[in-house]
Amino acid sequence: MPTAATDKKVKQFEALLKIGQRLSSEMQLDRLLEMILDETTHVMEADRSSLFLVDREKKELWSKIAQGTTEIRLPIGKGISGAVAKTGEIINIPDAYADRRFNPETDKRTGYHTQTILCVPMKNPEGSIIGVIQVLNKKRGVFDPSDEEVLLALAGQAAVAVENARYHSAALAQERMKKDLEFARTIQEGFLPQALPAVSGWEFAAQYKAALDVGGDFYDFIPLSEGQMGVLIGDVSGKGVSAALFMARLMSDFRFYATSLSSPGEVVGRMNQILVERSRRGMFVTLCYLLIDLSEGKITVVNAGHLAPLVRQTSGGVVPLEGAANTPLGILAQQTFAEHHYHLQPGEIITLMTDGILESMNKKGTLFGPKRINRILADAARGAEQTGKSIFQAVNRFAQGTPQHDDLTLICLRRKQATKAPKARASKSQGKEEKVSLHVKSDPRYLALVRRNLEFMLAQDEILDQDIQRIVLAVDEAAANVIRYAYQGDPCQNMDFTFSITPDWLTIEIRDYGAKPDLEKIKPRALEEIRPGGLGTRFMKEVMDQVNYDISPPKGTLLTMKKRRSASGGGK
Amino acid sequence: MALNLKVEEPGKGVVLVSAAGEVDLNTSPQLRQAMAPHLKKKMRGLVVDLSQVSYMDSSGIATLIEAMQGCQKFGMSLRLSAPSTAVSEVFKMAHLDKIFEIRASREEAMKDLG
Repeated sequence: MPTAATDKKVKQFEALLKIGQRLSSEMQLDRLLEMILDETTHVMEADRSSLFLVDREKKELWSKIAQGTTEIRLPIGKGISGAVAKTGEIINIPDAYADRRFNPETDKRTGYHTQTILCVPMKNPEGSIIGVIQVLNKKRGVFDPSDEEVLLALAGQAAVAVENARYHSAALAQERMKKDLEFARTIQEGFLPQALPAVSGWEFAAQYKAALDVGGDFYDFIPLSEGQMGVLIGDVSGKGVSAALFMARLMSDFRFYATSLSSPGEVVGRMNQILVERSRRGMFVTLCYLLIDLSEGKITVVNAGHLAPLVRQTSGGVVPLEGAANTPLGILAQQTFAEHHYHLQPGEIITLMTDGILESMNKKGTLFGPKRINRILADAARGAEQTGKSIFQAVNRFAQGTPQHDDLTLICLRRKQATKAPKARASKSQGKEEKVSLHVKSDPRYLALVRRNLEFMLAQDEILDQDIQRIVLAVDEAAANVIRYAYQGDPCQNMDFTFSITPDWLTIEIRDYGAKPDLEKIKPRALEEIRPGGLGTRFMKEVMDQVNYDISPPKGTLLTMKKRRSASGGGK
Repeated sequence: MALNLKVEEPGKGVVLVSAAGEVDLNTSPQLRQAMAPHLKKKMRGLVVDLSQVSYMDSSGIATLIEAMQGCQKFGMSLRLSAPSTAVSEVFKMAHLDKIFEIRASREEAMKDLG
């Protein structure tokens, strides 16, 4: 004969079984939690229930829905539910206001009157606490040990159901994301070049690795007419499918304008106009476009908010091609994009990259950074492919498997060393003029760049060749004077250099747009005087046959220095 | 091209600054900063190893003159070791080759200092 007590127990367990079945079919966490609370209140014959889940990272309990209240967050270890979540032990309070563990604050706020409390942990089958269930105010009497047993069983069922639902929704979200990313990756990879250009006298290399969540990196090699090649690298802000689609349209538009407009600045300006019209949700693009004259190595750079290309010189120096800093594309309409010129010498390598490389992170959160790149570049002379590989390997070693959140893209191009230096004399004996122009900012960092250009030009000339060091010194001193005196050390002004060689003369022109010199004061120092300053001017006059300052331009000065080019040693 | 600097104290009161690269308007402030903290009382000598310096302009020379003047103030000797022919040429053009104490090697330059 079943007693009333055992009868009640059987009924409760039947209810539990039913709940277990229903709970396991509900995969939406919000609905599931609501269902658990309804059933608990009913089975426990309580007035209301609440359920808190453990947020392990924040060491908090949280509840989206507690019957009759709104979302609550509690620190684990504090209060009754907090204590249960911490210790895993049941708390059963027959008279709340007589118990010191009870905090009447919530009652005061809500006007509710708590009398009895039963709070149990929700343990998953592995035994870890994933939440707590609390029931309040038993309809008749106080919660007894059999109530504890039932609620504990119920909480166990709920724990399994919650974990299932969580896993299910995570799995669903993951599945959806995976499909999206596969799509984005297909788009991106479909648009990137499938092969590297093959051009005699040049080496091209590209390395690309999509991030876990596919960023918007892109690059392209665009064959143009008349021995020219366009090289493009860039990064669309944003990730995933939208960035990939944006990038795909951008690349096809860019190809179109690169082949139909002749000036790279104009191409980028036109792209900007299109992107400003097209850009949504603040999407923008940084890019760097190089137009390369394949026969002479003259390069026009347009940089729109992208990392400056790095030139690895044959001497081992690494110089950034920092021209005018233009804004990224897609932000402001009607922008003009300034061009910057560089004459790539045989043996020199240009490396272009996206910031994913510099911002690659290791386990400690340290960034790869520009110094490591510079060190690798300076370290050894390598071919284009080997340079790209070395940097990628270094990034991989550095990251030690830490997943990267941005794409990594790298392009290297190298102008091969001529097997034999061209005979400069042949062309000059026909009365031709050799000419190199160089435009740089008035930053002392570029002095080395100016020297390298001049050194290269002079090395081609079998007469001036013998005086390289002295001529380079004179030009360097003149440029340093422009920076120090005409521009008072301001590194953002312009300096234009022209080096030309005719059969009789080497002519060097340096144009600045700063303060004009006081010609009276530009006097070489007396030999006996050893104080610093004035020495540079003396070097210039000692090396050169003519030094002339033309202060007639409305702004700035044109300095012309000439050295006689005569094999007989008629010059200095 | 960068300038690499190494500062050592091989003996009591003796500082050795080894420079490698190019000294120009851009890099000479680094050379100045490397030398300046060691120009002080109770120091005996400063040796600047120039063997790995491929280029020096007037700002580099000015920096060395400044160091020489600093050394004089504290009764220290400044010695330059093993300048390349390119750098020697610049000293000559500046007529300073006789004014600096130039030694053939860093070992030579460090002799009798410590």
